[in-house]
Amino acid sequence: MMNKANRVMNFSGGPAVLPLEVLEQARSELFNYRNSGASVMELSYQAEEYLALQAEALADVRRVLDVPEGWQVLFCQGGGNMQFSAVPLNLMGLKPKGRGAYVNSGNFSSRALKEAGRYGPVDEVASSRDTLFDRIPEFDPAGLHPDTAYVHITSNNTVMGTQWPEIPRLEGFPLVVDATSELMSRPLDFSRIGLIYAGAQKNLGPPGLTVVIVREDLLGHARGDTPKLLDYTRLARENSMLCTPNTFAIYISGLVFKWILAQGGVEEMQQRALKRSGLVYEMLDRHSGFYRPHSRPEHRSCLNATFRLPTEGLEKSFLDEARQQGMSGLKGHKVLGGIRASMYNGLPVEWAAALAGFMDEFARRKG
Amino acid sequence: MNMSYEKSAADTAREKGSRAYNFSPGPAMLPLEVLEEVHERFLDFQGMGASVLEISHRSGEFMAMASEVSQRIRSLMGVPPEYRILFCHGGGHMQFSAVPLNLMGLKPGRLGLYVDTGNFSRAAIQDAEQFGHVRVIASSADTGYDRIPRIEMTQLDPDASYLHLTSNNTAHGTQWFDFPEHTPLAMVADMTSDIISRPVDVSKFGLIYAGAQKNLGVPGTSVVIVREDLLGHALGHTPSILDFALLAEQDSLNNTPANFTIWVMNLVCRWVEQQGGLEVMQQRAEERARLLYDVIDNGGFYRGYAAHDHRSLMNVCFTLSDESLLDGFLAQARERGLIALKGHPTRGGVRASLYNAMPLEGVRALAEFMRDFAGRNG
Repeated sequence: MMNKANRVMNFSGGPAVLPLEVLEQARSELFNYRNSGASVMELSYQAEEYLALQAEALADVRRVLDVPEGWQVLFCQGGGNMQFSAVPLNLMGLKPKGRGAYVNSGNFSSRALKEAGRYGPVDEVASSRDTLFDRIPEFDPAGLHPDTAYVHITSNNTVMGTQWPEIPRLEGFPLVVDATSELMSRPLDFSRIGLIYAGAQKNLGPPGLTVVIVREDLLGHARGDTPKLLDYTRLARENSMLCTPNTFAIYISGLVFKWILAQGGVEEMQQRALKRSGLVYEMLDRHSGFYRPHSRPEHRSCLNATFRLPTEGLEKSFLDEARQQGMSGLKGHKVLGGIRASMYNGLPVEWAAALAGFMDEFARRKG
Repeated sequence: MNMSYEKSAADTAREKGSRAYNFSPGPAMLPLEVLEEVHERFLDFQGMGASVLEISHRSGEFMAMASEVSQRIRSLMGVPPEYRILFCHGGGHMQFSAVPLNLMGLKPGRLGLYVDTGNFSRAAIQDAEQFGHVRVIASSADTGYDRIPRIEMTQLDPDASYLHLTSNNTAHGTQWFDFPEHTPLAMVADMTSDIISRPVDVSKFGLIYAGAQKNLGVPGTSVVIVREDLLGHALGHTPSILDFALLAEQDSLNNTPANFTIWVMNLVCRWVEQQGGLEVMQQRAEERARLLYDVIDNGGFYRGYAAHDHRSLMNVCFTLSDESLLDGFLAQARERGLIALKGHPTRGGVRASLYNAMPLEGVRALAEFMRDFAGRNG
């Protein structure tokens, strides 16, 4: 049987490390969920026990993020990528000749932009492509086309290791935020947002669940050919129960929400994220001739630290030695190469400290 | 949350022992051996030091496992080489949109033919109407969906893009036993509730799909088996994640899949292999269903819904001649550890869902309870 000592320090970009307490609880009630006579994954989604579980998970999203009245929390399937289609399908119709405005800050922004272009006109209103997405581009809302139905940003760029230091405030246009890799890692000001979505597999739980939080006045404008399960209005009307949901993913995420609340909520998650990333960035700065961070300092992500070493050979030794010290998932995304340390809510601060210690020692030895 | 979730072996054994016979229509009972393996390996997938819930879908271990599942399905079902096996997000309902989005464009008329055999067929029809023309060529609505309607070859308009049917009707307890032969257009089957419960000749079909949560494991993923020549005709507005050609190109790893579902599916398929494959599944399904239909047919206390020739081996739907006894029936069944027997809301009555994982003893216990209940109340 597995014990804590065998647990690898998993810096995977997602699916990613979950709080051990959550995994242990799920395992401990795996055969018979709260005396229902069945495992939670065997329960009908209409069973009382399951309905209660899902209602609680939805309510806990509200509690964790302090979601105001007048907003709907939806549970969808298909990850962030499905939302790349769902957002334009639901929101381009907000204006008669509606178009989407996209800030391009990396890999996933580019995909969102491309997908939206299949449903209507889109404008790339800012991009940091020219500097290899090493920053959040400057964006001036004054230049927005008057037919703009919504403005889309990616608040944290998993691949590039950049993050919007704060969510911008726009006047007159709903802001749509892909927060897949950061939702629930810092408090949110809902007055700045129209819709926010996140695949669960970074900070919220396992893949298979996407959380969408949408202001009610944006509902009701889906195109006629929007697939039923992508139509926010129908999902809202039916409490996200249009069909069998991914019950197990919702159950695990529900446990994660409870865990976040018990730890002290999003404020505490933010403190930990700052602590974890601070430990790693301190080493990047201390050994600045050796480690080459990708992101500009002012846009560094608290969730994903990306950097390179002087040679690919050194990068390989770094990964091999880290592996021997019980650290995995550090290989950078193929777009950037190098190293990426992803540090989501489930990652203990001690693991980040262990990584920082290793980075320090490695740089002294090889630098 | 500084509590320990460590349970003693005795506690775990007691919980295992207190499991009910779960007749849920889906999500549904899993083989105990599969749950035991999930429990055993939950914190450590293949020695990686992390749970399957936590690992990258691009890791060698996960990709190897995903391709293993598809090999298992191919060999269990005898899927010919010219068919692709895809994993999609969402269940059967997602396919109600994905199928017309991908296949309507096969012919210029954008026409789908549908056979209406119950509430899931109807939902499929409704969703398809968003994307093209739909013609219902046969329906058993008039008789309360108690049967599979006859279809005539002359109805199979060769200008249509495809013919859609629902091979097992979970809510109504009916099942197709004779699929149309030599159809002049691609035949599409929603096999959500009877896939891998019996051998089928895949080559008769253009496309087969199934949500995982009945015979294949847990909800979150659907399996699509599609003949290659049907790929590449998706309508312009098909969300990329639902475009079968794009999924086929990238082995269904276009984005992060519902990893846990795929793992459980692999364990379930391996279990079916170990049990002897689909012939054995079919024999067991026949044996299970017969036990219940025998009780229903004898004595007049219970009334089956489905016409005899179309009775499902997966979902046995019936009511009590005296419906005022229904609540008592369900409550007493529950006390005996026979759970989730309540009929579908559109149907009422009782529904016993008997998928691959339902042990024969569970069905014997239900049959005995039914006889006993009838004896006491008849």
